[in-house]
Amino acid sequence: MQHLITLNNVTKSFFSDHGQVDVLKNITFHVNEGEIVALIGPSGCGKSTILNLISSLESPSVGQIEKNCVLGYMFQKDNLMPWRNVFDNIKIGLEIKKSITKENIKYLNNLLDKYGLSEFKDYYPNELSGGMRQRVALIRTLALNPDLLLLDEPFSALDSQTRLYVQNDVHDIIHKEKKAALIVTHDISEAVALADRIILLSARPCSVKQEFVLDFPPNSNPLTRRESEKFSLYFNLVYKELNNHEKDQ
Amino acid sequence: MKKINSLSDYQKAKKKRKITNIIIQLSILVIFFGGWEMLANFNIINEFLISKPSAIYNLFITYIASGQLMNHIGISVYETLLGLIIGTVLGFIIATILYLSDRLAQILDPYLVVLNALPKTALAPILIIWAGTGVRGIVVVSISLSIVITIISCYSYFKNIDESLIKMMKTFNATKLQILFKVIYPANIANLLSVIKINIGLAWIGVIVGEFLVSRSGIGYLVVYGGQVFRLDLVMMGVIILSIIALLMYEIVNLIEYYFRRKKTHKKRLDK
Repeated sequence: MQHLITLNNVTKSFFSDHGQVDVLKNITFHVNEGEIVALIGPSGCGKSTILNLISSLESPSVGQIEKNCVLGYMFQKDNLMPWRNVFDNIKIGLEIKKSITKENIKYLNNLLDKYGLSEFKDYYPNELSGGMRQRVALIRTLALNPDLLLLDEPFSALDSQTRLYVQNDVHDIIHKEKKAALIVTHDISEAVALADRIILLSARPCSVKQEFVLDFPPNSNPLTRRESEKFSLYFNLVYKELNNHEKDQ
Repeated sequence: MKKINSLSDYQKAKKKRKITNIIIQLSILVIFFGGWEMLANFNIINEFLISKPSAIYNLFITYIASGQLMNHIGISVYETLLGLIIGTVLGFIIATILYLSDRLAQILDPYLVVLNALPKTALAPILIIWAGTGVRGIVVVSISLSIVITIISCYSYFKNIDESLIKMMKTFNATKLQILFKVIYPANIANLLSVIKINIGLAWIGVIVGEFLVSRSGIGYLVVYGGQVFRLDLVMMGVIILSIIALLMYEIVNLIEYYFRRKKTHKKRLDK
């Protein structure tokens, strides 16, 4: 199977008036087709920098990143533009690529239908709930038909109840659309509920400490996973490792 | 105050308050002009120095009848609109260029600060000599007042935009121009309108100062001429007309603002 992305010994340092900050050190991992991978680590360790490197917003100081796919990026904040209605917001990617064709518009309408937002097409973001806004943001990302979604703490701005069902929605959408995803999070239960594989990162300078392959039955979703016995097992495993590393510092 | 127990009570109270506000506003106006007229008629204030509303009104009627007034108003409004539009558009374009080039913005920063601190009216005599004594000189003075503040405030509004919106656009590989037209400009419509409101006042200052200095027509000319020949009714009429026109221009911008605010709400909901 071909990897969608591969990071090979990637190192990243930033320079400013205050000196040099080494954020990433020798990061190596890959993401396969149709797989959900969670990056988990202490806050401020440089998780978002990894996503910025993958999406070419920044370039690595050392090392290579191989990409064989179209990327879509989803943020912690929904970043919906308040002066555009739902449909115009999800259309933004097509506008920039100058590919507003009948076919693509139809695809957008399909997505809206499928995920229960077609009635709200003409609504403006300030008229929607937090969960709905996050779904609109996801559809905006899907509009360009990416193979791999980069999710940067996509649920942390939601209240805890909304978070549970939006997690489920997003998981369903990713599976139905047969996408792969790389999720950055510092919430262990979120990683265990969503991912096929968890990559544990250390504090700064950030490097890969350990990898867990989660063995849940296929077709399980975040809610059924949370009910399973394995959930707490994996949770404790990751939690202990994360704690150990923090003590090492 | 009656207690509000139902929606209709609330609506009634709201309507009542709106009406009383208008009544109070109108009475302030009536008391001001009525009092002025009475004090002048009873010789408590000197009519020669302060004039009185009825004299101003009579003068207004003769000026309207002779067609002179419309001519003066027309010229001043024309100059102000030119100054306002050119100053705002040029300032907006320069702010955009500075936004696109951080380097240029850093280099020009101290000069902008100096230009902003400088009282531009002090430059008016020079500007008029350079640009000519007619409408051109006056418009240039008017532009000089509004352009610097437009550059500085537009630039800082552009810089203050939410960085994550720009990052979102970059993940779609948007170009700088696309970010400009799809994020920076639309996000700043409200700010631009408030800049225009400030510029209305500044453009008028420029035009009046310019007309004081060189002109043979316009409201500024009427005011300065009235002062020179001690016709205070003429001066007062000029000032009153000036405030009415400035208010009208301001209200037009308010209407535009209302239109853009309305645009951020789904239509069906507004109709309810």
